[in-house]
Amino acid sequence: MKELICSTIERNVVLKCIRDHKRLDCRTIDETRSVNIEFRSHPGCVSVALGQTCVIAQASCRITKPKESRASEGNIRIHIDMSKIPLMNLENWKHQEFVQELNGILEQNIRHSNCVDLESLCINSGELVWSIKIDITVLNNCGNILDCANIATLCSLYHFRLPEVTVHGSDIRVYSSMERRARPLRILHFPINVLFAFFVDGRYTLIDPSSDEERLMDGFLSISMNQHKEICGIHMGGKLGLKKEQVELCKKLAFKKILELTDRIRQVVTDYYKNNEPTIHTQPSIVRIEDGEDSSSESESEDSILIKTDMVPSPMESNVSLLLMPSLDRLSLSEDNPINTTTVADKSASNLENDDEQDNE
Amino acid sequence: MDIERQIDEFVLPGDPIALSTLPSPLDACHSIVLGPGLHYDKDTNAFTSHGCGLVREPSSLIYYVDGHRSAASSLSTDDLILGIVVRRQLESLLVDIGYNELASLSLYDFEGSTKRTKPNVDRGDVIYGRLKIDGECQPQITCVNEDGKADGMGVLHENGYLFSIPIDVANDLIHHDNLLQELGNEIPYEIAIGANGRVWIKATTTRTMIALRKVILERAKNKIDINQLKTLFQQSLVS
Repeated sequence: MKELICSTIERNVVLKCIRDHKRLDCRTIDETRSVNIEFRSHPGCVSVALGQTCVIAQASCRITKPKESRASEGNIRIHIDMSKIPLMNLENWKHQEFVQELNGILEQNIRHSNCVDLESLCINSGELVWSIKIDITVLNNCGNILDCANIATLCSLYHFRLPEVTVHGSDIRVYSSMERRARPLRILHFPINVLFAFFVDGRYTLIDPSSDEERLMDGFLSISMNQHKEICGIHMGGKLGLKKEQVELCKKLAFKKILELTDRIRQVVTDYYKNNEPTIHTQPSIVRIEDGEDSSSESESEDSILIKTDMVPSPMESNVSLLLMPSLDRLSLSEDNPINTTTVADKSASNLENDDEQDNE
Repeated sequence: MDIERQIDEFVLPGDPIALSTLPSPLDACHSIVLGPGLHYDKDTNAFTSHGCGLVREPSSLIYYVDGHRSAASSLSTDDLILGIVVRRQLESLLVDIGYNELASLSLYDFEGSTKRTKPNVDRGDVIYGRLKIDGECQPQITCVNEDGKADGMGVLHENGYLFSIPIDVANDLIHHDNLLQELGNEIPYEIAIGANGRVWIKATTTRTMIALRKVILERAKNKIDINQLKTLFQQSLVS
């Protein structure tokens, strides 16, 4: 699939509209499109629609070994997938570049702003931490994927529930949500992104550009802020130079939108958990008993994994792979994974995670 | 699992369709016409859909599936289409029409163009023309009819606006709907709808164009009543 090229008459009309301080979709210059947030039954799965732009985000967690330098911190990764929508500008490499740029901005907004308390993801310092991954799939592009993906990521993190873990010496037990209620992540603040588009050498500014405007803009400025008026990331692209006052103005506009959106996200998630009882999943709980530091006996550690296989794993829970413990790397994934009885799609997901693990190493 | 679908019901690809209720449709005297999205399997003697949408019967013994389709699968010879010029070559233009590949348009296929006087067409211009598809070859466009007259086709004027709508809606607007006439009673405008789902509109002011676009897109989204659309048009004219 490829996106059609922009004709001269489209360009003329869009630019003429902007000069008249009007927009093609009857919004004003500083009006964003309406945000629609919808949660699925699985914790951490959310679909966000910004106008016609639609994005699905899914958070998943697994247990990994922390970095040497940060022994008591978990980590968060973001992966954005845009293979479902038409290519931008007909060329494949440009598309890839665009995806990478988006991913970079998102990582800066979410990871580098420390919006999630990474230390709360620690299970056993230096040995085991939770690693959270957010997969974002763009389903429709009507402009401003960045804001939409950013909101989806935050909603997904805020909606996600981490399974409860107990540590008794060397016994580590991961409880299913049926046995013990899963706990939410500790989110310190919401860094929300607002995108501005600039036209005619930065003379005209638009908030939340649609796809037509995005195709014709000279450059963009994305500001990520939280409700305490702290800037978590600022990004400029395209070919333009901006004055200080313009950035200040954008900042002011962005802050207004961010206050609305933060309240909105809080409201939506609390409403969800008020209305819906925490869903009961039938994931088998996994008990892992380590016999001290005796790692030479491989067969023993294999036996010590007790899986209650009498319960059928639900396909919904399957993307929370609880078995991926670091010390089990040498065992092949397909043998030990309790979810290998489910569909092919799940298998591919677990393979993906396996690949990721290899990347980490 | 044999739930057979009837006329005006929603089907998915692979659904069997009960056209067998008809009075012996495969008799020699009655021949059935299957439109896009329908398939007849000779071995099993059954009709199946390979599209997604509603089964329609516009007149007796003619059937098709009315739903969303890609431009490439629904274009055929003699369709009027709108395209954007991607490249200008020595004697021809390459035009993007939403098909798998770019269509070619000879520069001599404009009204009054000769070897000396070629029309002034540039990259990004919008072309309204007639399509000619010959089997697997590259599609071709002409901007003249049999008499060598333009007949409304050619390069479209600068002061218009181009946008896309779904193909089934475009076909509806061309053939069945009187929405365009109704809107024309309110305000004068020019419109060209291509069979590939692109719409070009030209009106006196930008505001009218925005309003027209909004109404047509609203019509594409959900099939609401004409009177509602007219009130929406009036509202968006004022705003």
